[in-house]
Amino acid sequence: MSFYKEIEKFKNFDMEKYMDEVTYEDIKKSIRKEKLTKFDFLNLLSPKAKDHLEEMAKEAQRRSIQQFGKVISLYIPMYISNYCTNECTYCGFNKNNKIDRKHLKLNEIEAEAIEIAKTGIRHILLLTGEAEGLVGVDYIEDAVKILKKYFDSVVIEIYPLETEEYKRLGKIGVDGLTIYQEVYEEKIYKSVHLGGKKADYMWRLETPERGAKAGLRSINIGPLFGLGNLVEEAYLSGLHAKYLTDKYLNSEFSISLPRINDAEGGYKSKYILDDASFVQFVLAYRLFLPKAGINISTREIAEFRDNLIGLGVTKFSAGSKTNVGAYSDLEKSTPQFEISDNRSVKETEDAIRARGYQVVHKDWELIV
Amino acid sequence: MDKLILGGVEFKSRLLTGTGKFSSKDEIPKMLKASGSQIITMALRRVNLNNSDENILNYIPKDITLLPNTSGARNAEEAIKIARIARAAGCGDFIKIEVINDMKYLMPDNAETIKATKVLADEGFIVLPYMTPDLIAGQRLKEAGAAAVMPLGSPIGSNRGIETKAMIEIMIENIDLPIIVDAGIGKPSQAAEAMEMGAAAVLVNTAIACSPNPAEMGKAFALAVKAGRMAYKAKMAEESRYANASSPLTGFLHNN
Amino acid sequence: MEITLNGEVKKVESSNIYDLVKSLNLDSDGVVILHNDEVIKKEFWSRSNLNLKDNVEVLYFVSGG
Repeated sequence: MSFYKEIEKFKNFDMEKYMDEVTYEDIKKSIRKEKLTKFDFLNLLSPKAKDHLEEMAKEAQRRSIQQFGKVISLYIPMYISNYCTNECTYCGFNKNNKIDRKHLKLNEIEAEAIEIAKTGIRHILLLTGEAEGLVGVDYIEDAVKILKKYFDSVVIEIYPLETEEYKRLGKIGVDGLTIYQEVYEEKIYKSVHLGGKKADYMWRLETPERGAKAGLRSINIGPLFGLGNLVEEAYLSGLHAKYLTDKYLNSEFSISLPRINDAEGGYKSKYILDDASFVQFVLAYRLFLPKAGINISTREIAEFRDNLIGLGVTKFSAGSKTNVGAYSDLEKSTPQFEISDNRSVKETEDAIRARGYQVVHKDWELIV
Repeated sequence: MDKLILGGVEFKSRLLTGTGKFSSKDEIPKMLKASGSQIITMALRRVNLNNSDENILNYIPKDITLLPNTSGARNAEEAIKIARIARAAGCGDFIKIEVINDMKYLMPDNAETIKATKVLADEGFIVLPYMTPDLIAGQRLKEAGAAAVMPLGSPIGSNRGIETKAMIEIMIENIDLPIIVDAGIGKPSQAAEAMEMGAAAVLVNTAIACSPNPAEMGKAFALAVKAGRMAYKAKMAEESRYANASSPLTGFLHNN
Repeated sequence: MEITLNGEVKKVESSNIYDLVKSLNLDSDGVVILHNDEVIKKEFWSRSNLNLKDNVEVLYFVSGG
């Protein structure tokens, strides 16, 4: 697959040597440029760029406001099933974890939707684990049909589908998909995905393209920071977004920066993404990908998220709960990851407005 | 109110105009009224004794500030002489120093201009020197006592707009004096551009005088100058919100 | 007597600036007079006597940018 070619090229790249040779002049030039090359992106990701965060931030802010205005879009995640046949060592839903499994029936999905709709949120992210038979495309389709009654935009974050399946869901109202590569470094990928269909690296890597080919409008990608070398993963995910943006003009691409946090299964990551590096990556993404959305979830604490508002982020989840059936307070099940920003939707909205930004609940509606 | 202050005198309008090249002098008072310009330039010449022409001052309302220029001067000495004559003639203290030796492009002589500025400023003139954009010359003019600095946007009468943008931006950023872009502004959008850059005012002559309807064109320029100034101030207001902390956007990373 | 008037040597009849301006049919309001390099205000014109070889400049304000 074409993007894989970039990854292969990278395997032969001496990142350490490059980073050694980057100068402050290089970094300053990269910040000023209108259109950044991948080497400019690397310069901005380099450890030396940490001394230039404020300058990067000013430029990132300027470009963001120019491209997006002073706006943050909100969405809410809804987990409808946490049964999973994959064995991802870092995930709470890992097949081998002894957790409370739950799978919502259609009427329960509707009850959840009704509760969530009360918050005023109009964009919803639908999540499931991967369990063939139980969580099939028919189930997803039925769920989406229900959600379309309550929300203007439905994006799915489920297991990778075929292009035809994305087309099918697109027809009944799915606007987009979120699919995290988790880790771009192939060896590490194999080491953390021990079983199930998710172990197939290429299948996962090609998923955003299948979604774009199917005509889905909004596609969100990202690495899970903590699994692989941080700068490498930021670099490859940025290149991935660029590759997709250049190739698929009909879709909007966005990027997320999930950092591993405590989950059932106790994965202890070797690479810790600290706050300064997180901010550096946000700024580097923003400058390298001027049109890409940047999506920050409630994995991050409230204060940190709020501080990111002027720096190039465009989308927040709000009032999130990552356990199945949480909103309508059904039987408690286990969350996928720990939420750090526990604010309600209203509290999140107030915080955004306090920063001089506008809250957008609805920026898209598919007239199916 | 966002007033233009030159030599301690306050002005509401940031559009300076000139009396040159009008097809009919009657257009001048109409243009001044329509544009709200409060400062206008004129030159001093020998009367043609065989065929004397009317004094331009007859066409300028009494409440308009006269800005005589030293056009004709080829060096500092001549400029100083003309300035003194203009003041003695009752024009007031404002003087635009224009020392031009180049008849092809009408490029001002910055060195002679600096010399003239020093002498005249010491004599209490409110000196507005016309110059080729140059940071160093601008600094010297400030030291010499100029009340403002007037760098050219492009050659006189060329209407080519702000070709010297980069140089003028540098001057605006680094010289603490009103910078008035003079010469070359051909369209209202260019006047707005100058104001958006942070210029304190603009001087427009040819583009207004040679227009089929100088009063209307003067008004258009006045609106453009206002718009450009508003945009500049709005941008400055935004930036001053962050002027307080040394690293306001990413300062939160160091708080712990 | 001969004086230099606006750069040209001229024979004039007038004995002072006031008379000179009148004899040239000039609008006295509009002109600026330099007599031997000194600006002479209008109220002093009649007292500014002309002498042989004096230099008189008659100037006025014209349109200019």
